[in-house]
Amino acid sequence: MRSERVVDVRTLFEDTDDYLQAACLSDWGGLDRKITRPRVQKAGLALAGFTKHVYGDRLQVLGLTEIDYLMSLESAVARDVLERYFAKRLSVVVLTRGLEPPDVLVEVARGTRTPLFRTSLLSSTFIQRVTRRLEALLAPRASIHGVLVDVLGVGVLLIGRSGVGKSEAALDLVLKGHRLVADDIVEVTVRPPDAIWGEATEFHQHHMEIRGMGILNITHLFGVAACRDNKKIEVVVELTESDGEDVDRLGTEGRVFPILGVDVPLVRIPLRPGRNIASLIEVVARNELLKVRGHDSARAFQAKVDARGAGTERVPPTPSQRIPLSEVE
Amino acid sequence: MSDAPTSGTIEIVNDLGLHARAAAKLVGLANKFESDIFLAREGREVNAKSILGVLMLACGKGSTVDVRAEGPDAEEAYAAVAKLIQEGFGEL
Repeated sequence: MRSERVVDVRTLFEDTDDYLQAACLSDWGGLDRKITRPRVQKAGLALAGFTKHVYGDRLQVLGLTEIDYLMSLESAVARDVLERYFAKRLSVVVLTRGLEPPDVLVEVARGTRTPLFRTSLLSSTFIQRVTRRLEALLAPRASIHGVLVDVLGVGVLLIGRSGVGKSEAALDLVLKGHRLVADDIVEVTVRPPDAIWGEATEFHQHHMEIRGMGILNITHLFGVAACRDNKKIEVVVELTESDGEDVDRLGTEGRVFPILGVDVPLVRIPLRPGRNIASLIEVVARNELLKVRGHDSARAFQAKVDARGAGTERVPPTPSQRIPLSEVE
Repeated sequence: MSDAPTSGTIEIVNDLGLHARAAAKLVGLANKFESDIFLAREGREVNAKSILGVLMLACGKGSTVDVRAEGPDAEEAYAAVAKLIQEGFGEL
């Protein structure tokens, strides 16, 4: 399941008093206007009349430069440029540095019912923070049936058929001191450029269902360190009942599991009685750590095998080196 | 092969909605089938074999839920789940 995101102005500024330090200056509504892109625009040349590249669905920033420029204009001229700028049906206009909006700006904003905000932050800081928030709000999202666990700092997403033992394996991992992120439903988002992050919903965070026991609160049972709120997904482990040809015996096939267009390494583990799945997953995580450090055990081993093969072909043993059959018995 | 449906939209009819015990009943039933069964509401789809997911849907009385079954016994699975919901989880 994937949904294209938009965010309205109200949501963007909700609960961000400390982060964006912004307050609404307008009382004429327009808070339902939509922003669809994380990049903001600084008005700049638009105030000189060049409005060709002004996009209403991007947040508009007015800094000291813009306000000073407006103040330097005759009020009729200022009104004219502002009307042309606001005619682009701007989603929201934010003044930075705690600047006082000129009267003409307030009038034009009121006339077009464009929401006006003011932040005490500098333009650069505000743009950086609001871009981050917009990226988070606008990132593609999906929800995946699986369990996400932080194993030795590696985000491991367990997938597999219902009832295959994902939660049980995750519980085993928690008992070994690893941390649960989300059981059953993992909400995933892309953090640009290509990181996939997963978390639980607020509703089922820190909870887990184990068949036969029901719903468990992992934080209450194992302490605050047994859970974490979100984690980058670095490897996907699929628990499978089949032991057929879909199992990578060398570990060099480089399988991937695409999530929201990002390929995440996939390891398929066949279930067999007597296999300790949690230990295997822990080794998957360790192996992933090695790969991140630039050492791929499977490939290194394969290279060794290949080198040996190549070596014997090029230098066949000379007759004198051959051991006479009589000595071999 | 019969043409019995494997998906459809069903209304929650019991007073308490899809509450905890009703969800447990539904999940128990869903697990008897080999097919994958999904419930969806307001753009969120969850696995009917997991209680956390079903509870997350928070379906109240009068709301509707989309049920979909996929697999070898999809028709029976859909029919059984639909019947349980329509009968108000035995609470009517």
